[in-house]
Amino acid sequence: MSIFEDTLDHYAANNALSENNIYYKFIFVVITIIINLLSNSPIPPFVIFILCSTILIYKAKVSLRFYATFMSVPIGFAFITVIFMAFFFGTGPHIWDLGIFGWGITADGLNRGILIFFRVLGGVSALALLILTTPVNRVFSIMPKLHVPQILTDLAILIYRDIFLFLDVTSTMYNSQVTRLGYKDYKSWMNCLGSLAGMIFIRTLEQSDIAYKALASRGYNGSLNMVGVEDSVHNIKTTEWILLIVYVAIILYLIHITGSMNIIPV
Amino acid sequence: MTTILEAKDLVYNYPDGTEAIKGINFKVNEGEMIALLGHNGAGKSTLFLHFNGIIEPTSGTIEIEGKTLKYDKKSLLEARQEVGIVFQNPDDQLFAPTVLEDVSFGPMNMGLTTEEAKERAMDALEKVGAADLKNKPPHHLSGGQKKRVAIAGILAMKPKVMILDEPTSGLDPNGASNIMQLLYDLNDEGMTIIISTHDVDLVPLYSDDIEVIVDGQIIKSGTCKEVFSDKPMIEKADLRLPWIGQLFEKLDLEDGITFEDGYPLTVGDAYDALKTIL
Repeated sequence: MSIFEDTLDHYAANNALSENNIYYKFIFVVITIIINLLSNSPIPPFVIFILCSTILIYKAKVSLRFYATFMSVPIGFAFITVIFMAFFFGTGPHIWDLGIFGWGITADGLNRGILIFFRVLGGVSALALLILTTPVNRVFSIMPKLHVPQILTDLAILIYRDIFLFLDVTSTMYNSQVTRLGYKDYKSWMNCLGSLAGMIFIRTLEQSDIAYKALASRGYNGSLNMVGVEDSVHNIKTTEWILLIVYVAIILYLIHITGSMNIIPV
Repeated sequence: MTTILEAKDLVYNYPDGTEAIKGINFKVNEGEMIALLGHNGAGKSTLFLHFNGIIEPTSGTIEIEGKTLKYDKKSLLEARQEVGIVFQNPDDQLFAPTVLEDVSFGPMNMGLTTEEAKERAMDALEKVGAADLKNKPPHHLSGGQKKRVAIAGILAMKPKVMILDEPTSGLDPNGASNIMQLLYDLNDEGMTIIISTHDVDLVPLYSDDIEVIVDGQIIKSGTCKEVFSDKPMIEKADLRLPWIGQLFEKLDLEDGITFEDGYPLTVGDAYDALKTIL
C-alpha cells in the first residue's frame, strides 16, 4: 500500500516481540554482546548467532529475506576481515601459499579471522534482535527515563515523523520529474536533482510553519506531552530473570569448556 | 440558543499588506452545523485560523461564549480547548510516532493525568472507528484512516466547537460518507460543527445553514434553497448549482416543469419532488 512497507521501521513495529519489555531486550542484548566478546573460541559466538537468529525468525517472525538482507552487510565486511587476517596477521608456517610476493595463509591467522568472523556474526545478530523488534516510539518513551533532555526527545519525535513525510514528497516529486523526462542525461540529471533538493527545502519550511499551527491548535506550549508506553524494569517477571541467568550460565560454561578451541588445527 | 462563537468586523491583512479577510461578521449558535462555502483561496482556511487564536486579526474581535478572545498564553490555551480545528491535510496534524500518542497529545496538554488522557484518546478513537489502529505509525495509514485519526485528535480534547477544513477532500466516496455520518452523529450529541468546502454537490448534505465566502467577505448566508436560488450571487462566488439542481433548472427553463419549493438539491429531495408529479 505505501512505499514504507519494506523498511526496518515497518518490521520493527510489526513483529511478535514488538510489545515485549524494552528493558529486558536491552539487558539481554548488552549481556550477550559482552559475553560474545569474552569468548576465545568461535563456537560460543556461533551458538549465540544461531540462538538470536532463531528467536528473530521463529519467535519474532521477522521475514527471513529481510533478516538476510540486514545481515548481509556485516557478513560481507566480516568475510573481508577473514581474508586479511588469514594472510597478514598470523605467525608460523604457511599452510597454503599464494605463489606471489611470498604471501600465504597461516593456521594462526585463519583461526583469528574465523574467531572475529563469528564474533561479528554473534554481536550483530544480538544487536539485530534489539533493533528489529523495537518500534521507535518505545525508544522515545524511555528517553526521558534515561534523563535525555526533553528538547532532544521532542526533536527526535518530530524529525522521525518528518523523515517519512519528506520521503513521500520526494518520491512523488521524483516520479513527476521522471514522467516529464527528467534525469535523461547528465545535465538534466544535475538540474532535476538541484531543483528537487531546492523544492524539498522550501517544503520543509512551509511544513514547519503549518505543523506549528496544527500543534498550537491542540494546546502546544513548548513541550510534546504524550501518553508514552509504560515499560519499566520492574515489569520483568521473575521467570524471565531466571531464564536470563540460566542462559548466561550456559553460555559462560560453553566458553569455559571450549576455551580457545580452534577450527583449524595448529 | 446561545451564541458560542462570534467574529465581529474581522479584518486580516497578510504581512505583505494583501487583504485576506475584509470585515467578516459571523455568528454560530450552540449545537448548529454550519457549512462555509467558497472557491479555493476565498479565505476559508484563514478565517478558521482566527477562531482559536492561531492568527491574530488586524482589527476586529473573536468572541468565544461571549468572552472576547485575548492573545496572551493562558487565554489562547483556553480558546484552543473550546474550539478545535481539524486541518485539511491530516499529514500536517499527525506528528507522533504512533496513533495513540498523537491522539493523546491534546488531552495531555490540557493538564490531564496520563490515565485520563489515555482514556479520552481511546474513547475518541473508538468514536471515529479507528481504535484498532492505535499502535500504528501515521505513515502506514491510508488517507481515510489518517483523516479519522486527525479528527480523533481533536475529539479527545472534547471541544465545544469543532471546525473542519474540507473534511472530505481527497477521500473516496465511501470514506467521505462515513466521515459525514460521523459528523452528523457528533452534531446530534450536541457538538457545534463548522465545515468549509467548495464542493457544491456535497454542501446540501453537510448542512442547511450555509455561509458563502468570496474574497474574504461573507456575501450570503441562509438555507441551501435561499443560497442556491440566488443566481447572480452564485456566479459572483464562482460556484455553480449542484448537479441535481442543474437537472431541475434545465427541466424548468426548457420544458417549463416547475416545482413549488424551488429546485431540489439532493437525491432525496429530487426523489420526493419527482414522485409527486409522476
